[in-house]
Amino acid sequence: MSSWKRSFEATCRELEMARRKKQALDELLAKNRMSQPTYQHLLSSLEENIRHLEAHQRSLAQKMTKRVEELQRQIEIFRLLMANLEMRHVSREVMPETYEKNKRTLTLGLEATENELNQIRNALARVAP
Amino acid sequence: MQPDMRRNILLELENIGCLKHLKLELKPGVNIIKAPNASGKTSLIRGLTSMFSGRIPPAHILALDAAYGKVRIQYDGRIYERHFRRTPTGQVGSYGDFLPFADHRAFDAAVALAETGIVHKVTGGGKIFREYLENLSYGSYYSAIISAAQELIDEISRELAGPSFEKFEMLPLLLTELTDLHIKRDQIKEEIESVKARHEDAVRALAEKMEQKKAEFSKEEMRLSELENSLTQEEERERQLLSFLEVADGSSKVAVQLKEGILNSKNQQQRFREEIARQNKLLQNLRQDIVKLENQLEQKKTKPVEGMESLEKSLNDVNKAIILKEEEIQHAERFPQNDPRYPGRLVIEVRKELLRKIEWLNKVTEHFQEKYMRRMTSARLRFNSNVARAFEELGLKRFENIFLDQDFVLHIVRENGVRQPVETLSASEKLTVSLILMLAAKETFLPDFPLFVIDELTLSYDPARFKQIVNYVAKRVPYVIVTCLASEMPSKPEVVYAV
Repeated sequence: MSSWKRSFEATCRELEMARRKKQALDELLAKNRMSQPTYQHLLSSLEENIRHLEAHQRSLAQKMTKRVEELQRQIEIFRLLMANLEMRHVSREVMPETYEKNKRTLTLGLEATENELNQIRNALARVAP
Repeated sequence: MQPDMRRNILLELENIGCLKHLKLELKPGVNIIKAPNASGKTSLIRGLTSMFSGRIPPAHILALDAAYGKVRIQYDGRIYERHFRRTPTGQVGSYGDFLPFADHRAFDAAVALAETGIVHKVTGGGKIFREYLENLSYGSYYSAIISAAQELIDEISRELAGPSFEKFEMLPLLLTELTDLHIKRDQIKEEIESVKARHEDAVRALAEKMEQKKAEFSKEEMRLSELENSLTQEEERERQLLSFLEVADGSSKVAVQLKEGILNSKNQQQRFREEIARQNKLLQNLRQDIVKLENQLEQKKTKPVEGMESLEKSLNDVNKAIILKEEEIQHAERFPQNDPRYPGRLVIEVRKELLRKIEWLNKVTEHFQEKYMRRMTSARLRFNSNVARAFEELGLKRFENIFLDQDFVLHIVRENGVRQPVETLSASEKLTVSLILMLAAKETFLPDFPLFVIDELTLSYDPARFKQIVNYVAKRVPYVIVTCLASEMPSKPEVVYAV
């Protein structure tokens, strides 16, 4: 997850910077500090960069959305396994030690999955709140 | 059959090399010019060459001690004269006619001199013939255009790497720096707003606290007033009880009750007084607190906000830096007014023009490169074919193949298929190869040129082989001129006509 997050956050930062640059460029033109041809020259490369970053961000967001769905399925499975374990525990089908061990494992897995899901959701919320 | 005298070449030389005056008649076929060493054979060849090629400098043709010299040729019923004159400064110039079949390339393809050209190259072990074929096939014109275009491209590229263009290329970086400054400015502004808001909150909180204290003070003041009233009422009660006691029987039950009442009243009064004292103390403290808060509020309102000064200074600095950066950007997009080539012009426009020029020059280069390649490939293939034919017709069995590869490197393949480097050939083989290469070049590029000159190359040849080659040349060229050492010692070159 961390590499996804890093990549996504880096793209968001770069995109923000590119948009700020465009804003600065517009100001220069408005203040008559820059000629139209130079403005157009810089603008075209900047817009190209913005388009590229937006496409990259969209692609990352799509991948992350897919990952959200995957994680949600994983969480459901964990919960199902937990419920199953509890039922077997109540009906004394499993030894108490086995029950404890499995419960710890499932809880850790569930927590890790939920954490990852939250991190992705937070990151996605920043792009499309 | 009577030879056609009109076709004979009458050659007359005056002050050419070591020849003061010489008249010769060259006939169609092989003309062997015999003379001893240093008697003017090479001068004669140089004089003759000057009539169809300007490759030998006039200063090398005119006699060293002469101010004027002349080459005169009568050919095909016409007279052609070329004059050589030494100026007072010692330079030699030439003027006059060229023969009708003159071609500067003939020097490379039809004059075999031991010390220059292809003979010199092959005998010296040279094996790359690109330049040789370039000159003969006019490929050099294309390569000259290509290299001129390339030079222009290089010059424009150097110009594009100049300081003004370099500054222009920095514009994206300058824009990033400007954006960083904008971000910094916005951060400082946000911080200022935040400090202001915190300060206003603090002032408001102080004011609210003061209002609370004042409200408390009013409440406590009322309480004091109530206590004072209660004390006054208690005092009044005591006075009433005392007046009742005065009239009551001192030992009666009523008097005892009155005395108790008076005592209670006194006690009550005492409690009220104590409470009033406490209340006064409390009010005093509250008053002090209020004064303190008033002072604090006043101070908060009048004193500058803590940290605001340094923030405002930072904002001021950033704004100045923004203006400087904007000016830097403004300067980077134009050439300076004192620029010698593009004063005050926009760099982007000049850049576009120069890039368009480069694009056009690249197209020119590509076009001529293609033409050059086609011409050179065709020249090489025709040349190789003529070389192969010459070797086959001469029956030189010791060589299986002699050819130039696509890099114009000469390859010599022996009859057994072994490749032999040029430099390892024997002296006579080198001579044979060079003469055949030259003849093939003449047949390929100057098929109609009527002369072929072989200047004193017979030293390392056996006579039979030499005769075979000369006869082969004579079948293809109307006039073959061969110079060689005379066995006797004639006073000047003389022509021996041979078949």
